Amino acid sequence: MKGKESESQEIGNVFRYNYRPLCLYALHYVEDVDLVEDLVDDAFEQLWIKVQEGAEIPNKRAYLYAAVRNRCLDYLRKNRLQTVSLENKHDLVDDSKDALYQKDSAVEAWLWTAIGELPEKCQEIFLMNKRDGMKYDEISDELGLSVHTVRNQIAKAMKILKEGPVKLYNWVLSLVA
Amino acid sequence: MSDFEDRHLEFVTRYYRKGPFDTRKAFSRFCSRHHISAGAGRRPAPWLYTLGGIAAAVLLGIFIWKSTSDSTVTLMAGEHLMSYLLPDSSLVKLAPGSSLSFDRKSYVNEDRRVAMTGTVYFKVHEDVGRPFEIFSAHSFVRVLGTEFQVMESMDSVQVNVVEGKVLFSRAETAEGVMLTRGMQASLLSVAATPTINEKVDRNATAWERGTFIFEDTPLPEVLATLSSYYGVKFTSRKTDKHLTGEFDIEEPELIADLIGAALGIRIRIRK
Repeated sequence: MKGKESESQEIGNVFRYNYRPLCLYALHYVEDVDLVEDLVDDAFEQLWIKVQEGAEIPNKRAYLYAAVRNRCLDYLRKNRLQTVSLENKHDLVDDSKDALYQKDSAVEAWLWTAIGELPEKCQEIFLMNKRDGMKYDEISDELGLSVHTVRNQIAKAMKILKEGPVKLYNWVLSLVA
Repeated sequence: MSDFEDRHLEFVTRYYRKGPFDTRKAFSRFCSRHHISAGAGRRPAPWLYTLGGIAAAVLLGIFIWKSTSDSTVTLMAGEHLMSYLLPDSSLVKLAPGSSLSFDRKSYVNEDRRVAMTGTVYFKVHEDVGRPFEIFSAHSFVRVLGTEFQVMESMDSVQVNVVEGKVLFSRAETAEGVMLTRGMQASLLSVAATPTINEKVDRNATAWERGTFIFEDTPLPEVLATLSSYYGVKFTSRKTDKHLTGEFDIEEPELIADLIGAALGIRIRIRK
């Protein structure tokens, strides 16, 4: 029998390693960030209740992915009529796609974190370009920066993301030195 | 881990905004829903969790009753130490599993009154006209501007003063003790007034400072401090040693090795 303490400690670890990947995974099904947070919260809730009831769940990660998927599919079924982009949701139970979503969720969660850690200005310009689809000259107009600076900042963001956290650390050091 | 492809980047940036998918916040939500404080990784001392749901409920009741409006703000620390700046620039640090609440309107306009559970470190912004008052389930603390810690457990409340002057008593109207820099007092649940502790445990505020401090401390005492902090048993076969030094709070295994190495002994951890 596991003690209460080790149970809550374990759920802490399960949370730490899986929460963000699960969110990105769910986002492939339900394209609404706020709703995704609720669905993932619910999945953890369900897991915790099962654990409290004494259920043996050896692979909590797999359990959570399944729980999140079911919640997403339920939601999509209920909202079928309202959802515009339903065509590409017909194959939402496609196993090979689902496996890919699961696999991608880890690297996407990492990217989400890495973008969040970009230097503020760099992040802003990067998102204006990649997310909002603004061109270099549009960004330069809006922020009152030269096109050259905009281009540099975007290149810098890409470099940081490509090279990963270790390199970022070195890069900060090189600025200090 | 950075071998992502364009499709990953395209997908993530499509939805990215600041705020959502915050693991820490999600976990605090989860903890507060289930009244658990899971301290995975660096494990805080069990005393941080000793205040039960009953006391918390009583405290919350008092506070809601005191503030009839709906402007009550509640700050929580789930898994990690959390720092917050209050409206008057007073700083509070909440140990994992602790909470602090206050009425925003009256805090800004009238009295600086807060209610707390668990262990909270305060750095109160000085305001002579408006004392800062802390209500916990069974104690009352009033200060003007200072740094100190209030630590609640099932059967006692302990106050450690780092800077300044603090009045510590059972209740707002009860007789109390005045504590100044470096002093520590405990109020047992059975006592009417707090007692000033002759011997001050500097490691009571270790979690806030991030270090353990030992000054010619006998090894059994060192082991007891570590055991209660990490919630695991630290043991050693040699107990006649004394330890002096300041040690960063690390994973229990690492700190056992560090201190063991400093004393040339082997410290074991029994879980």
